[in-house]
Amino acid sequence: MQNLRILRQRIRSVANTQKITRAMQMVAGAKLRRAQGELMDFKPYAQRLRVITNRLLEAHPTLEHPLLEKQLPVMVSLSNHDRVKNRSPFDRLRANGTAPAGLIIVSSDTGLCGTYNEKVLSAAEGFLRENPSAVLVTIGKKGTRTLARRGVRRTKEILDWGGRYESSKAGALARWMQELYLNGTVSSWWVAYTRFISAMRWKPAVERFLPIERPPSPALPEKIIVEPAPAAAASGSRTTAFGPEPVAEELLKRFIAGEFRRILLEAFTSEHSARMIAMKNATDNAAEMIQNLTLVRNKVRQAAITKELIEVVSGAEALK
Amino acid sequence: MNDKVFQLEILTPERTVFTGSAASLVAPGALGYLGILANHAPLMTTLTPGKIICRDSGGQSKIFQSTGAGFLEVHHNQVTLLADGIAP
Repeated sequence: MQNLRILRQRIRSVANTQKITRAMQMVAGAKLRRAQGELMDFKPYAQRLRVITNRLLEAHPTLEHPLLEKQLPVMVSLSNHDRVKNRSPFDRLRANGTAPAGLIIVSSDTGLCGTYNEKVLSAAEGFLRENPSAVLVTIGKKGTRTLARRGVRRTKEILDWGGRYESSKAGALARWMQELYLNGTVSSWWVAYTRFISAMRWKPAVERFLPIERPPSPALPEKIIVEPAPAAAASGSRTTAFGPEPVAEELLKRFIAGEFRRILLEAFTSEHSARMIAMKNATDNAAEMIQNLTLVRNKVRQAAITKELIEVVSGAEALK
Repeated sequence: MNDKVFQLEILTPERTVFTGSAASLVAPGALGYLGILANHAPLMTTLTPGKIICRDSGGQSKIFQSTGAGFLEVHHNQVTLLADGIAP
């Protein structure tokens, strides 16, 4: 028979824990609403930006730009079957040259968010197995520590963002990444982050960030006027044809900044969602535990009363 | 007034500033202000900070102050203006 006093103590302590997890659930919920609002406000912009970028690239299938994926020579293009069979999604960059790939891992700074960090790290590990020499950047203390424990080398660590998007910090990081890519230190940039699907669903993913993927070129490219045209044309030389390069440059930079913002916003929103769900589960578990413990406590108390009654009655019987 | 209209969207990363139909748009292009009317040819251009003026079919004008760089696309009477920031 369990001790009644100890049972009462346990119920109290579980109730206290429940208070804490409920408070953390509320905080995560508030942060989720904020982050989700930010993401939803950004969605229309991001979507139009993607459409416009694709439209420009479709209109100029021969456009070359350092930020843009190189055109695949038509001659060596494999049949679809071969591509599916022989190529992993990360294969292309190995063929692209000797510079290592770069990988950014977006994890959280604080814990208690369920499997959020584990999932994004296991997605990243798949990438690292294929690209052991990858240049690694970690955002978030949790992911950084886990990798440090495993002895994985990190080139850059960002530990003070706290699940909050700030455009100045994110912009600086994006510029640094572009610089490394443009000077050939890395052959491409990939991002391991968590895609936000809904407040209850999110999915870890590894996506390529740089170079920008080309849309399949359409049969009939549309003619689009671009302004300003290259400097030579603007300065009055009539021999230079109007080209999309200056506008494309601006648009691609804008696109990259936008994509990076989207990636971070999605990851941070997912983080808050994961934490809210984890804390909700903890609160629910605590409620269930309290209920079970209360039942046990009632039984124990009743048993004690019954036992005392029997003692009294049998004592009275014995006196007869 | 019975002008032809086009769909206009003015967006920043933070919010949707304007969405609806407009009869004309004046925006600060990289080579100077440019005006857009309905049935404009497909166009893409970069924008500088400046005033964005859009007029609806009733002749009512709205003026926005763009505070950063921007991008303008005209595509079959669907005009999208992406700005870094627009003063409230």
